[in-house]
Amino acid sequence: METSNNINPNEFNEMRAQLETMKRQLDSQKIINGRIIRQAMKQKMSWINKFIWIELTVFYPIIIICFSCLAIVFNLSWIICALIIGLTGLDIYADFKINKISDTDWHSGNLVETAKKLAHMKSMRIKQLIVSIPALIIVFGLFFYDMSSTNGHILQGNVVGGIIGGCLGLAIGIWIIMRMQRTNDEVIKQINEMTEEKDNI
Amino acid sequence: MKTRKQDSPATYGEHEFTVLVEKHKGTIYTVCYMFSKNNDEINDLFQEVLINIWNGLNRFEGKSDIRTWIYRIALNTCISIERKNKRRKTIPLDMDINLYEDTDSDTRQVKMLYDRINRLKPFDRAIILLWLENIPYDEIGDIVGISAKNVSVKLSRIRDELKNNK
Repeated sequence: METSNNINPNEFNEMRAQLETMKRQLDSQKIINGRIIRQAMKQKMSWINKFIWIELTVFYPIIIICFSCLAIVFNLSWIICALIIGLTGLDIYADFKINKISDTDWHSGNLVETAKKLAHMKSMRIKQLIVSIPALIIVFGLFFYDMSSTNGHILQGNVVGGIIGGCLGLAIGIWIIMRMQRTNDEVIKQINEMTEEKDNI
Repeated sequence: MKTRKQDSPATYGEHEFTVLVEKHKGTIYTVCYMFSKNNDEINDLFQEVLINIWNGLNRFEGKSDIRTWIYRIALNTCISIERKNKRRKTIPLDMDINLYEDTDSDTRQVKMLYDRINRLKPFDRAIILLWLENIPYDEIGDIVGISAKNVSVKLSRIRDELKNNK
């Protein structure tokens, strides 16, 4: 129970003294361990896994629903729609496999091996781009051709809009991949700095 | 042993990070103490601050004093977590300090003051903490992003609020 509602300057001074005491107690203790740094690296990469989960649970269902509806409403080829849905699914599966890195790699494993895995991840992402972009361009090209040939001028606006949307999506996709590459680079650099430090001691 | 250029960005390694945090751990701990309710929370906040320092260290350009930068990171982290009320699995740290035990009447009075401070808005709490650390007004302003004059006005208001806060 408080004895007084007024704060007197002494209480602030006592609080200062208490904080100083706390700092002096800390002086004798070692805080840092390597696990914190490993945890920081793992956290830096975590946004990539979150993004892939969003791809699977949000974007992919939207793609399935949209293209199914388009096929039904505009009487489009189911084979082409299935190809688009299938290719997108394969792409997301590839994202999962390529970007997978376990807790063991971060906390118990040899960080040099982890750095090699991260470098390998980068090269696999580029290979994925090289394969998936042309494949998606071809399939989407077939889709828009099917759309315009089946429905004539009615859907011309949709085709144009779709092409613009596709280009925008491609640009955003490439930007995200580049950001993932930069994240890998930063963590690889941190690992190299750490291991170089240990080698030089 | 290779010497490392300390004043340019992107050259901080594990050793520099460890030295820096060991030197400023009291500062970081004090900030976390002001934004937590128990020792486990301090532990969690402390670790989050260290992670953010590690991730941001190579982008530190040296435009401000490193202590100012650390205060800024610590305060932003604690305020941000308080707002999000995030729970992340953390690794236990080797700290053995307990300021939450009542020992004598002076400590209890201070604890009451601490409880009142804890009821302030996060931004106000940051300012009063920095004032308690005897940091000059212009440096407080630099850390929280307001002018020194504004710091003075806010401090006066905060002290009034603490007096009237039951």
